[in-house]
Amino acid sequence: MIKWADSSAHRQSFAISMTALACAILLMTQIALLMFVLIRGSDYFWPHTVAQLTFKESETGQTQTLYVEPQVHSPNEDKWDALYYTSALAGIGDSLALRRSQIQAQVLASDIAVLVMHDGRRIFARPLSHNPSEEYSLTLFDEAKDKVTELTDEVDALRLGPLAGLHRQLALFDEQGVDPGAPMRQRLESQYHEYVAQVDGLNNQLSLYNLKVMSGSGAEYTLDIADIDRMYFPNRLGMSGKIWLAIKMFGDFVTEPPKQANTSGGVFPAIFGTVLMVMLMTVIVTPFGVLVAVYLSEYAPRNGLTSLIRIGVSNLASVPSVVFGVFGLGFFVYTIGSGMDSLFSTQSVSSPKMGAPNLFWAALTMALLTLPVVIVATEEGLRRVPESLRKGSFALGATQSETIWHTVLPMASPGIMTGVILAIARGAGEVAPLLLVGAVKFAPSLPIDGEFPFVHLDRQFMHLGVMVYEGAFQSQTIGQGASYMFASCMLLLFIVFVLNLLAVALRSRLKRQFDATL
Amino acid sequence: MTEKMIPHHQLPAKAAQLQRRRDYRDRFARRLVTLSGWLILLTLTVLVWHLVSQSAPILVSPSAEFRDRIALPEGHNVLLMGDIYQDQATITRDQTCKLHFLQLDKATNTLVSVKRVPTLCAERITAFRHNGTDYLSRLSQNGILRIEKITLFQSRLTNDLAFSMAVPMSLQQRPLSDWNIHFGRRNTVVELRYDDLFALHWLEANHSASSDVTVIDEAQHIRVLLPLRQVAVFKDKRIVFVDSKGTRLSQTELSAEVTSVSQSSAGRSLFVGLSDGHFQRWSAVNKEGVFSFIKVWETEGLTAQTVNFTPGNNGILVTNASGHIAIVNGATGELLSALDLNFAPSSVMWATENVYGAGADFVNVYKIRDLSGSTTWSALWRKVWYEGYDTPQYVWQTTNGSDFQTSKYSLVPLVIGSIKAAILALFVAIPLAFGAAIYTAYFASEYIRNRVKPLVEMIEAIPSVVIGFVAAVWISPLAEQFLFSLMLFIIITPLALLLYARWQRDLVQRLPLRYRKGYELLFSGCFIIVMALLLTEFGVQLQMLMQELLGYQYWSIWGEQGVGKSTLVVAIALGIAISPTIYTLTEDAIYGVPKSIKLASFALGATRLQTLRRIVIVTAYPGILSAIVLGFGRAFGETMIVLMVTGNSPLPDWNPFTSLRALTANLAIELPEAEVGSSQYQVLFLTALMLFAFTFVANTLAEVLRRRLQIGRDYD
Repeated sequence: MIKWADSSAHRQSFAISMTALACAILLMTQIALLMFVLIRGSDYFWPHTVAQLTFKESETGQTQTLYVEPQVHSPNEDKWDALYYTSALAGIGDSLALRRSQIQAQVLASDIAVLVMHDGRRIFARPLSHNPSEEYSLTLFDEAKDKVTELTDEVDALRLGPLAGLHRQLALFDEQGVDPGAPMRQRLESQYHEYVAQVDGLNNQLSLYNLKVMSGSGAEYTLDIADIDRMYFPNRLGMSGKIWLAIKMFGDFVTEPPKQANTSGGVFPAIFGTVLMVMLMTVIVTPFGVLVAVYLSEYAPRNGLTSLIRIGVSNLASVPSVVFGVFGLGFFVYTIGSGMDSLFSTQSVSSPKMGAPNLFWAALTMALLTLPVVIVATEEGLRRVPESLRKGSFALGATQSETIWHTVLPMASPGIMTGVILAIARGAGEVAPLLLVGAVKFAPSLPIDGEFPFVHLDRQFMHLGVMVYEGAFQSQTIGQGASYMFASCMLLLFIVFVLNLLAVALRSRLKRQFDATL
Repeated sequence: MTEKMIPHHQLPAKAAQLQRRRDYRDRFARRLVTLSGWLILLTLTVLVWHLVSQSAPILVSPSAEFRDRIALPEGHNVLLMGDIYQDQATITRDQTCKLHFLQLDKATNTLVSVKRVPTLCAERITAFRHNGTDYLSRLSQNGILRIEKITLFQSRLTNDLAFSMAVPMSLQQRPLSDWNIHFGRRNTVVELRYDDLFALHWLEANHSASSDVTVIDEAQHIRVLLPLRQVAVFKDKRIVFVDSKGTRLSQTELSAEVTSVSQSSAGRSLFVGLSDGHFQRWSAVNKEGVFSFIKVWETEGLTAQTVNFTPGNNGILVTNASGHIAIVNGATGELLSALDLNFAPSSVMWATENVYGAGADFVNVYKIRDLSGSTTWSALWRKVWYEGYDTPQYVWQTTNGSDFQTSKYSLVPLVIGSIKAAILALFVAIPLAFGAAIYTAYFASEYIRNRVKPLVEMIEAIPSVVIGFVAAVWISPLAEQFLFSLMLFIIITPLALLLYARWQRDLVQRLPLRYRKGYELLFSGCFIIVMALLLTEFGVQLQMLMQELLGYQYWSIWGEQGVGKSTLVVAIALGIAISPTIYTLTEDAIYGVPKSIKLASFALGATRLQTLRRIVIVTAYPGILSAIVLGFGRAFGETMIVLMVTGNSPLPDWNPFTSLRALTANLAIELPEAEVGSSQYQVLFLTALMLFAFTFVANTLAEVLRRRLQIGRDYD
């Protein structure tokens, strides 16, 4: 070692600095990770400016003009990345990598609009005119949009109301083999045609409302206003406008279904699926976990079997989560589920209902996974209740169940709550078992809807974590797809962190409460 | 505890009723709670039992047993056996030269003719099966060979002519005795036998007129190895390999006369039975473009007469002339099970669970139990020489191009992958977690500890899928740049800290008192930020500079392999994910070292560093070890991160810079597609059971270590 670092004081400083550095690295990594997800995730909502870019194509040398959204994160100085939306046909954006030298002009024109379509596409274009050939103006567009919304609502009302009813009735007639010439049937049919004509008329009216736009390259398109979800002019927005728009976009994100093969739109079904699965899991795991904990700490005899159960439970906590998935698939789905199917199925039902991965088995598997968390936390809570309180309760003549119910459990409730919340946090963030027992990349329908029996536990469901996993595998690492996935990550992190913080807060309250009583 | 304080009869009636209700409730609660206690025991048992029961069949050897005897109409000569229980037709020819297509009549348990076709008695007819389609080959008296593809659907028979050709009825004064047809991808070969003379007609795929004819003389058996365009010729105690022109390529001596030769479905292996009871597998090995055959294994005590295969399974069924059948693992040559049939079957057919053996007027059916057990323990753990490989290897390959390839279930690559990932993660996690634990538990003040510890532990709450995603999306693409920056960071940091340590005291003494608490942490944070900024700003230039100074070759060591991109990413991502586990336990162990010992050490004049090294770490040593064991266990069982950032290719390679597939990731990838009850399903359950068992071992080990820590504490 170099001489000037030879004294013990220096060595000690060195050791302290090294250990502090390790600690700082762990903290910084965590912060960097969270910041990264936060920044990239909120990037999905933030309205970026759109530039009119004139550049020379590297191959042909021709000059081209496009409306582009400059990418923030470009690793190389000389390269210049941008996202662009070529035409109304392009579903998702393409990425463009240019050298600085290729760029000839870059203008932030204030009349470039971003059109967010109902099907998740985004289009950068300049609005030209309304039909019939009126000069474009914002107020006119808003008026048209209102009118269009009114008309679509009417169409929807007709479709979902009388038309759907008539359709069902006619289908019933078909099933029963009612003669096509029957008067009742004919009357219904004429009604049906009447409504169809009404809808057609409305649709014709709707098609009158369209917007002519021009893309960056000068091509003109006509878009139905009914297809446009939102239009904004990013270059005209001030800071407050941008924030407001970002909030609105976030609102859309949590309420809308995914669009364009999980690259745009929202994550509502995934949030719904995650929350529903976690709720079901909680409903299963809480009573069972608490009862087991009560048994272990209040009722169980102190013998080998009890300690065997304890060891089993504590080991269960560190069994790899995927093993629970394997068990869930093999035992719940393929053994019990298939058994139930063959028990209840009539000859007409051929597709497996319970014998396939679904929401219920997923919740049950996750309940098993989180069971040790609840048991251990509850037991800890029960252990902290002083023995003197139990003795006091017995002395007043209470039975054991009354003592537990009225004295011990209320005092242990923060411990139970902590366990349940930790279980929920674990359940919300755990993905591996779900890959096996029911979560899918895309589920066509929600597990709860208007169809009888309203709650469909036998359906597959979407999950935020599974969506993120699938996103990484589809290598959606650039462009909007990645932003969408980061936004999902952000939401997942948010949910898990809030739950964990809640658990920490409850636990410290529990500690304080006992410090006060003792 | 529920002692009744007052005897019941002393209470007024109402109170007694109330007391009864309370007692009833108490008993009910007791039963409910006890029931749930039993239920958790049941759950644990079912969990273990299910994993064991699902994976057990893979460890059991298959066995054959008599199942049923089905009557066969008398005088019928079996041309081709069908899978009778699956209603596949059995083709026979009776004494009046009628062709019969027989199916099972379940009521009488008899094979009945569902279709009969009259033929000329002078016509010679054989039948064979290729890729699941039945073919008839008919040779008329005047030497016209017709190959017909036949399908029997609801007792309607269609026969399409595949091709026909004129064949010489004698060659060099020897009459045509037998013939065979081999369909290949490019060629169809018509093999004609004239006693000890063989003529091979190589037809083009469209069966147009014969172009090449190979004549082989003085041979006992021949086998056409279509994929290789070679012919194995057996004469006396020799195998001679010739090419399609008849040129001799190589020859090998055998220990005895050849009794039977069979070819695997893929056509690259020969199963040779010898008269001295040896049974051997010979496989093609590619040596610089030339295929030669090498003996892969040999078993004794099997005089093979016929050999049968079943799709998708490694097992082969060997039948000898006296009616013994044996199931042998085709990959390793292990004898799995044997059965004496008590008769010599004229024809044998193996369809997965059933073996059909035709006798004179009956067909005996034998049931094969635990067929998936043909994947033996040694196939799971030892190097196996599979068909199409040049050496024995550990191979995990479960998805096959066709049913006729066998799945390869070597667990070695997966176990290596898991261990490799876990060790890589420990390389990152141990220094970080250990350093951080020493800092917060020993050096830092109580104030800092109470604030920093929960923050570090929050890492545990980050869902692993998020860490995996960020690693896959952010670190992976930048890995090359990242690696260089990281190396620089690792080299520069100790140097910088050494320098800093020199002036640290003077520096700190100038700090206002209130900032002195935890200044190291603040300083380190600033240091990391500055370094990160510098490295991202100048990292690329520095790398270029280094490349120029040291020469390109020096860098290409990692550059060629993509810098072991996934390796680095796995190490970082998994390392970060498991460090809170190690941190918390190490921290608790170090913090739990009694203050009295530390104070005694200080009193004896030891510095803080000396106390740390000689006293604190020594005392906390078992706890630290148990933390590392548990950290290893977590890394071993982690699924999402390894699934998302590794290449997921199962290589049996300890080299840290190659791709890996972990046991856990493998489960997530393959189990959803595995068919219930298949060998793959059972092997996957076996891996799940291994993970489960491993957790128990790791936990118990950690617990034992912790106990020792406890005992160590009890001494003071």
